[in-house]
Order: sequence, then structure tokens, then C-alpha cells
Amino acid sequence: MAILPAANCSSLVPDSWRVGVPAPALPAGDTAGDWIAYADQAVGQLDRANGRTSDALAIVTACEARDAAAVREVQRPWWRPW
Amino acid sequence: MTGALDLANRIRRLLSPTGWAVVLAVVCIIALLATCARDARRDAQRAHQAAEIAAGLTEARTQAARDAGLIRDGAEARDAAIDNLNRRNTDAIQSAPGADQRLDPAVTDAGRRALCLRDATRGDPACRELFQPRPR
Repeated sequence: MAILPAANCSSLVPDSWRVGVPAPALPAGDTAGDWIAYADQAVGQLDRANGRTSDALAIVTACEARDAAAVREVQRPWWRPW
Repeated sequence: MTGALDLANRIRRLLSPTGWAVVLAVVCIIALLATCARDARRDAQRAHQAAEIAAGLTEARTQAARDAGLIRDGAEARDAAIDNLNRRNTDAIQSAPGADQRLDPAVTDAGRRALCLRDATRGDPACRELFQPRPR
């Protein structure tokens, strides 16, 4: 059994994503437009946060799959072509 | 049974006790050397496999970094599209009839207080101002 180096796939996730997505600034005015626009901006930030979550998972999952495939390839018996 | 004993006696008489001791010592040394050789071969196989795995993981990590780069590029494009949509939506909302209608200050005050209880908005300057103790 070979000793494997510790995987650090999470290091491929951009550091800026670790701080989270900020909320938009609270509406300065008291008009209906100000508050509705604020709600829209907040949903935009939600889209951004959801996108980052799924992208971060995709980065780590793809990296782990490549690592696992590399180890499988080395440990494959010589008599098995796949 | 008698034949087997005769054979054993004949073999025993082939060598003196010292000779048998030498034979036994030689057999032990050969067994020891064979064990050492087997262990060395096994260690070499392990080292070779570890090196192959390390090389494979290095290549896999290079490819994973390329994958991550593509995903980050996609995220940057998505962020830019969100910023663009934010601007267009704000323009559309603010230019719609009724957008400049003033809301009851009690509602907006309650709204700000509610939003300021959220972790994401707690640090907003408006929240700090809202919860600052007023001088008497």
C-alpha cells in the first residue's frame, strides 16, 4: 500500500470566494423604487452566491475525480487493460 | 518403517555432527539472505509505485487547475452578467410609474430594523447608525 500525499483540492477555490457574497447597501431613500431596486439587488447577490457554491463544489469534485483516476491508473493490475 | 529408519541413519552418518551444524548454519544464512532480498524487492516496488502515484497526482493536479481556471472564468462572466442585469433592472424599476412614491417612514424604518438583524447586513453603516444610542 503506497502512502499518498494529502489532497488539497480546496486550494483551487479562489480565496475571494471564502469571504462570502456581501449584501447590497441598504436603500438610502424611502421611495418604492429604492426598496424594490434593493430587493432586486439582493436577489442578484443570491444568484452570485449560489453560483459560487456550485462552482466551488465543481472545482473540488473534478479535482478529486482526477486524483482518484490517477491513483487507480497506477494501481491497476498489468493484466487488466482498463 | 524399518526401511525409513535405515535411510535416516544412513543420511545421519553422511556427515559428522559438526558437518551437520555447518549445513544448518548455511541453510539459515541462505534463508536470511532470501528474506532480506524479498523485503528489499518489496520496498523497491513500493517506492516505485509511490513515485508513479506522485507523478500521476502531479499531472492530475495540473489538469484540475486548468478545470478550475475554466470554472473561474465562467464565474467571472456570470458576475459581470449579474452586474449588468442589476443596472438594467434598477433603471427599469426607477423609471416605472410610481417608483418615486414615498413610503410611510414607519414601514421603511421597520424594514431597515428587520434587515439590520441579518448577519449579511449587520455591518452596513445605516445599521450602525440605526442602533447607535442617541445622545440625550
